[in-house]
Amino acid sequence: MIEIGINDLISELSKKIVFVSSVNYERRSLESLKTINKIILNNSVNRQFHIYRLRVDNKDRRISILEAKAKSHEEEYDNYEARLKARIAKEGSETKIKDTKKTFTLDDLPGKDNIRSQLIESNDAKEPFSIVFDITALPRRVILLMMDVFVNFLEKSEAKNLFITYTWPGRYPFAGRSTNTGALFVENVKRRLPEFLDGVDEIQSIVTAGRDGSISRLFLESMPGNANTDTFFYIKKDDYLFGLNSILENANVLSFVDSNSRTRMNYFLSVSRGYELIISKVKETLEVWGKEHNNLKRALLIAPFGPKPMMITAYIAERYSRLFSLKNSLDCRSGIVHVSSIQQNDLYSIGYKNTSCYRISLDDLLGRKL
Amino acid sequence: MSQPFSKTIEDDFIDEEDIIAKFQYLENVTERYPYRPLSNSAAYSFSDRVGNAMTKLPEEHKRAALALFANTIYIPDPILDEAWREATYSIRKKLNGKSTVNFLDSLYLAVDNDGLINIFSGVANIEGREDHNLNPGFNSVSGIINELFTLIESKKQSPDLQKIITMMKKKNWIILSDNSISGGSLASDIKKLMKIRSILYPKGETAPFLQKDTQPPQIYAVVQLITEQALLTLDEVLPKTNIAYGLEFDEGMRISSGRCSLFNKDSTREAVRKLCEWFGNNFFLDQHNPNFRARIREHVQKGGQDNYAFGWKNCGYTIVTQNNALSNSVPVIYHRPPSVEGVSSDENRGAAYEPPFPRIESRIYHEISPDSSRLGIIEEWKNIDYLQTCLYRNK
Repeated sequence: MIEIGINDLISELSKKIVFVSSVNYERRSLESLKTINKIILNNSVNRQFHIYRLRVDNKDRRISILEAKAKSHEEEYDNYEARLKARIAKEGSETKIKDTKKTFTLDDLPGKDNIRSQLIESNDAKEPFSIVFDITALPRRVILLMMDVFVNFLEKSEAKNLFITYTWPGRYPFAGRSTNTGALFVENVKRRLPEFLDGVDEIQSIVTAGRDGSISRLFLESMPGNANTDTFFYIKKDDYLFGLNSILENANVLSFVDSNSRTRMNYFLSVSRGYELIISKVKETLEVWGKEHNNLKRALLIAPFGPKPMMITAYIAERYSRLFSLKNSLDCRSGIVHVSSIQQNDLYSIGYKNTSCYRISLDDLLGRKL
Repeated sequence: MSQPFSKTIEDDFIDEEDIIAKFQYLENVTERYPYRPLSNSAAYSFSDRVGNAMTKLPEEHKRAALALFANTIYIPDPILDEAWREATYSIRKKLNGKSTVNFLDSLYLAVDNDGLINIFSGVANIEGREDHNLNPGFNSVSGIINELFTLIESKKQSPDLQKIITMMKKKNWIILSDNSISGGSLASDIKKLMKIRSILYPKGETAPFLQKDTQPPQIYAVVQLITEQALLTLDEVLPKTNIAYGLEFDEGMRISSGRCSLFNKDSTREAVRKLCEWFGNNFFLDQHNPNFRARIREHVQKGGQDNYAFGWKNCGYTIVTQNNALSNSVPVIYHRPPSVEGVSSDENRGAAYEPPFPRIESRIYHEISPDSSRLGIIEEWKNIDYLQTCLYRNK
């Protein structure tokens, strides 16, 4: 997962691009349009865009002011897209934009096959397409679902490559109330954490601290005595104060690490470095476990509480662990941990900063070098 | 002795400036990764350090001092180490597989700290530092200037050029800096290195020991901690694509900047500025220490305030690394005013103030580097001709 510039992204894209994004009540969710615009402005190739725009609702807890904001952003997106299409038509370009809007309910997500068929329904071109996945406004559960769909495309060589885009918030709200509620939950297997760890002899866990300090500490305290834990703090290399806020939220994690010899503290200053550190840690752990011929039951846990691109790292690491264990007959279960429910207390983010773009290593994602 | 934490510091102020959370973090981080002890005690917690300093500050500045100290940007060793690794990751990406960061392809030079190459190669896992056929061992731009100057001074018929030749075979000349805050020292070294490169690689010619059409080395700067201010300065000498860094501090982290965002309230920022000015007026104006006088003179020549209120070149940061407080940070954080001989302790304004993070000065005597004058001599045409004749015998 290497951060690349927009020019690198443009040069690596196929003619046909499936662009998956979401618009919600956060202002930054509109920024994915700028990425599309930049690709179109670089008109060296006539592109075919399939913009697959998701709206994810929480059917039980609708908050009118947030709904109104999301609706207004949807309209803004529509208007911008209409202007984009008009400009393309005026220029006589053969670039085409097709837009599919889908609304999901978080508690009742559609199946992978359903999404897959919607994404390729207009794939008349025979050449493999590129996927650009903007995760800015998507809930973590939906990110996991979409990644499963993308892996399927990539494994079948229907898709050529995968890029992740993410727009950083201007800041987080001052309110300081926790949005995470409920129990720690292993998302990929839909089980509660204690249940998942039941009967496991050895655990390697990895946690990346997020904006909510209580959850990292809860995770650390939930680890049984047979767990080795690596805690990672992200300090954005060009925005120290942004990182400092997250550290302040997690100040008591430092004291926990001090009192627990099986917990280590690590820092990373860019998402790409964080990815490198975590994937290396996972590979190294699995190699060691793979060489130990015993009947121990193992578990590899990743709790990507922040920043959001680490959810992609967690997905790749978990998948790699699963493939490695299968290939090497290792009794190891792997899980991505999050909380079972969230509570909306604020706007989640205020304003926006830059948009980062990451190239996904298909070797890691598809386990090609296992 | 006055109370360190005044009772008049209001709850609203503590809340608005998020003082408790910041203190809690600084307590934890300095306990786990301690700064050197104060002179009068083996171990002091962050709160003790602050309390100790506050007792010697006037009542009207205590509120501001509390906000200032709570906003100390304390960088412990693990973050500093990761900053080197991040910078290495970044330079590897920039080289894009066309050459490597090891000593085979790259020459390493350090700004103001000869030990940096050792530290960097260890943390970043770069092999070959002690292979003399790979590493000519100059360590700094001054080292190269010194070597060239010595060659010129002796003007031998068959000088020993091995170190220069080893250096010229590299694809990359990488200047390391542990921190580039105002950017001045790094920019100055880069300019000197560019001059050296233009002397050693005359246009259109290839030295006999290089493969035909070998391009002159690319100059890169690899910096552990950098600022937005330094990046602007460097922009004038080196393209952005040739600068890799670990951690960048923006203008928001400068108390002296209009964009300062360390504090939540403008009134707090103004109060902290007044504290810095008060400290500067009291402890830097009428400076008794001749070496510090020389330092302030140089600082003023470079556009700094004469009371040194915001530190070197008015940078106004609050950065303290686990090794040392930066001279570009505000002196209230690190400056221990020296006592003045022959003055009673009551009258000795500075003797009692113990800053939370006393700094060890890396330069006491502000002597002028001979680099510029030596480089001037090297640049004289007859000397360039001598060097190029030695290196390009078939010229």
